[in-house]
Amino acid sequence: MRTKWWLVGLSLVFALGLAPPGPQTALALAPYPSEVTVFDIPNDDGTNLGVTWHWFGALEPETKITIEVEVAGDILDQFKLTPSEQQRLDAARSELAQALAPLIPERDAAQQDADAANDALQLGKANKAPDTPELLRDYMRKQSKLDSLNARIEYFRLVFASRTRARGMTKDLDQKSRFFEFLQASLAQSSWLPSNVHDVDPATLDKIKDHPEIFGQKPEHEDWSFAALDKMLATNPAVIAGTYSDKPDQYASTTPRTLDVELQKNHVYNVRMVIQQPEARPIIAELGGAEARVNYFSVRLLNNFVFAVLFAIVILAAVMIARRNPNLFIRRIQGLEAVDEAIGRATEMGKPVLYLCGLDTIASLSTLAAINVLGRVARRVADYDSDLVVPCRDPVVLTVAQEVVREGYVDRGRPDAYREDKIFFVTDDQFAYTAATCGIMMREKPAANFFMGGYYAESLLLAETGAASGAIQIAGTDSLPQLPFFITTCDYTLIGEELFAASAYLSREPMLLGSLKGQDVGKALIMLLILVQSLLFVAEIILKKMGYDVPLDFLKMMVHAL
Amino acid sequence: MRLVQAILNLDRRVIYTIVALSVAWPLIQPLKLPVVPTPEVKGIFDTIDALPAGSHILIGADFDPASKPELLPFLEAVLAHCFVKDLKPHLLTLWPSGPGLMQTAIEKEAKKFGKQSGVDYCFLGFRYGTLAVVLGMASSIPATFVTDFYGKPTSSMPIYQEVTKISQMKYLLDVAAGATVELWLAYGAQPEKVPMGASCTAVSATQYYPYLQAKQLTGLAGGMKGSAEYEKLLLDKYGQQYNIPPGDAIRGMDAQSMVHLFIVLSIIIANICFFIQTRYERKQRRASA
Amino acid sequence: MLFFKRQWPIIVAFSAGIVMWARYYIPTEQSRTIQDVFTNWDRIIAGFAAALAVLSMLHHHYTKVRRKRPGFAFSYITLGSFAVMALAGFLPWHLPGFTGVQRESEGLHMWMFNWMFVPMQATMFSVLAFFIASAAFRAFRARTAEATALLVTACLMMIGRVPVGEWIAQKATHFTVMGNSYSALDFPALASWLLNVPNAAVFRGILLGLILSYVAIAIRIIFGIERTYMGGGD
Repeated sequence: MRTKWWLVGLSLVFALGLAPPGPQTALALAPYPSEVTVFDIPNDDGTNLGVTWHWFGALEPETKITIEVEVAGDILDQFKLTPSEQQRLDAARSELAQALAPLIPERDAAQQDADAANDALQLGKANKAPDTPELLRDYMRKQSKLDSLNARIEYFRLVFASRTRARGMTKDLDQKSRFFEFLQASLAQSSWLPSNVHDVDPATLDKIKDHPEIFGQKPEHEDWSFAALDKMLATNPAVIAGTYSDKPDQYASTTPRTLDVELQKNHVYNVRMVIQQPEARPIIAELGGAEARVNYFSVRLLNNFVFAVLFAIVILAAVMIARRNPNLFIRRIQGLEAVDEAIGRATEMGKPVLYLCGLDTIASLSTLAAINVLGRVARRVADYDSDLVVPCRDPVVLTVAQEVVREGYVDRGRPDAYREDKIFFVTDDQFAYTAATCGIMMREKPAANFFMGGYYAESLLLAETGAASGAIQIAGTDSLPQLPFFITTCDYTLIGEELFAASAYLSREPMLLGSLKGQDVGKALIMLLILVQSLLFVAEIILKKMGYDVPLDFLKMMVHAL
Repeated sequence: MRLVQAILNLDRRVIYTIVALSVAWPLIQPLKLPVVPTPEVKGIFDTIDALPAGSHILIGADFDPASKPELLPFLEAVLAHCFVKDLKPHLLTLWPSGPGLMQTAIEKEAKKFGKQSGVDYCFLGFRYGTLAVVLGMASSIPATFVTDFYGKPTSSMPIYQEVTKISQMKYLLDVAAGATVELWLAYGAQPEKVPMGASCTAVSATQYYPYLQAKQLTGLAGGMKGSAEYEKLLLDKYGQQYNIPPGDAIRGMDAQSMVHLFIVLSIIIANICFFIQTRYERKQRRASA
Repeated sequence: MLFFKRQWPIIVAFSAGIVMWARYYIPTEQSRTIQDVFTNWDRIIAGFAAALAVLSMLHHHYTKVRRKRPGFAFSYITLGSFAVMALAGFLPWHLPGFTGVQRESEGLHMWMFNWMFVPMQATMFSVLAFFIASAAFRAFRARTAEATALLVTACLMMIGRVPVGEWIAQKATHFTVMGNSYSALDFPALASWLLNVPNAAVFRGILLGLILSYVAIAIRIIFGIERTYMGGGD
């Protein structure tokens, strides 16, 4: 957002009182604003105006300020309906009025009847009258009639809404038309509308240092006042009172009294301040103007973007390296080493292997990781000619799981051993699924239980039941609150990202190994930054205590930005 | 030694029976143990208490009947607090089995304080999509929830003439049994720069402390204890004036205290027996060697 | 046909992933519109997925009843309960004994929700309390130093997070020295320290690792390296 420096300069000139005495709106000397900026607040949609200013001296107690925004003709134009839109709106309004004309009085009468019937019913209940059932039936009849009338009115209103859809800042043409009327009515009094910073005590306003998300950690002029303007208010008393254009038969039941200051590109927004001191006439200070430009890239997310791109490059590079050198080292993960042992135990005992993919949908990354491990387990089960039972909570996960297990069996040359009814859908209710799975564990007594994926409160129920049935249990989840339950009840637990590493660990596929290594590089970088930042803070404290004032702020800011 | 063995091999059903008695007895004979609010819960209470009248709060009540004892008292207390302060809560849920509970809670509190749906509060109900719903609400709440829970169009409601999206809310509160706190934080509160608080089950509370310390959450109420603390704060400040009775969470804390005490004692006893048995076995081995 | 099974999903995943990632950095109105379009599509798909879950459940139980598989009687109950609950929620008529309809508080649907569904769900969750007690009794043995640390921490947290811990700190072990009040066993303070220091540090570390995993998997899916979601292995 470009600041109009010539306006700022002019404000300065006025502030310093160098301009000749003019009309009442001219600035007088201190304690009035001497330096100001007007800019857009870099939100994601960049739609607010920001104002900063510096009080030259002390203000009188009980001074109030209002910041006003000028509504230029082109801002008004954006709410003006085109002839076709006006035609469409008029037709829809007339249709709605015709439809509602007979319904509204009928609905009002029905409302009165229903209320009277309800009063009679309550009285009858209180007095334990013998005809209470009759009164109840009467009330239910009248309430039913009222409900159906309301439903019909709502139907016509929905039809009105669908006929008057609008693009841009307003929802529908009716609202657009009302905004236009609202602005016109307010502008009839003045083209300057008060903003949401209206009639406030200057001492309670924010300072620049209160908004590091806009101005950074160590901003210039940190004690300057700051205000964000996101609304304009009505000045027309009729609009303020809410009586203007109050047509109950229209779709919208209220008239707006405020308007969002949503910036439109290439408009100039002028801002001024009205300073009201006790028992004095208001002084108006022109603060300046700013032109809205489109932000094509959110600069405050630059560090995020750089890190994301770097990380993606590292991952992809690591995958390429892993393709050339597949013997990359991964530390031993006990839980995964025990997979073979668990499946072997199940085969020896002649019992099935129970595998759960978690309670999340296929969109969850932990479910994808669990499906990956399921593929490996299915191959092993096919090798050992054992049984695999996979109860699923989500139908899409069921489909994917069936496909993966079938591929595992086919891969090992055992398509005949695959049984689709062993991978089945149970229910999508959390505890019903848990109850069903616990039932399977107690009846079929699987020798090995695998709990992989996302779990919630049912984790302890499942693991404890499995422990009671005597199975060897291997769990892996990214649901952090459930980890303690799995750790205490299962033989092996994959904590957090070990679940995601499981697929790479078991298959030793270069692509998966490579991405694992890339993650490690990313983690190492973050650890290094945390360490450096901590050392800088500690060094600053120690140096200050020793009496040296070394400026480490810049370094800390750099690390913080990263 | 036989006693030690018996204790170590104690049947689960004995433990279940003692747990059941520990829960039941304080509910019949209340102990009235003190509930002292912690700074984490005060963070939510003070933030809501400081909001000016007419402020809008978005409450995501993302839990189901399974978490009702832990989280419903908190929701009721927060709604009562909002109505006492003339704030305007917008209530919704991302869990399909949640709306029934929320309906009961909000209708009860609204009736008590004489608040009107569509004007003083809005119960939006449930929509499928989780993340898509949060992102949609960041753009426009009436477009995401075309009708409220009762089927009334939201765009014509007086409450949605004042606000239409998350960024216009003064506070965001997630009462969550699952992992929706991070969802609301990452896609609702942080991008839209709205302060946020959370109430969650005791089991989930531990994972949100990093966010609390980073001040991404203004406060955190964990489990029934957190709900009891919020009820206590509300009672102390507004109980007499608005005739607010003690809630279910405060009553439930006695039972929770007894069960916790029993579990700790059983762990201590089990470990004492474990040590005795280990020493005995060591002695036996030395004697036989 | 193989193109739509193999290559087309990868092209869609790549395009959608890159567009949504880029959108995060572009704060224009058009960018917001793209997000709105994608979120609307997501909500529509989620709605159909919900319908799919219901249909799958009905199909599963219907098949079980038709083939008289073991436990098919429970499938009758499931289908019957589903029908009653659904009809009670849809029918606009007042049923005998109920003054409300559909989702109103006085209707059959809400009555079944409040008096059947809620108690059953709460009961299943309550079973956890018993399981935790038996798991704690069985598993919390001081066999190693780590196990001892685990059980001591668990005991401190259990006492510190309930009013009985407050009572012990304030009444049972409270003493005053030179006008300052202290507590010999301030369980709440200990529990608070455990939550705010070691717990927060550990979860922060695990979270950082997890988030990097999520990003790595997302990159793998976007660039077509990870293809598990297509249902055919890697």
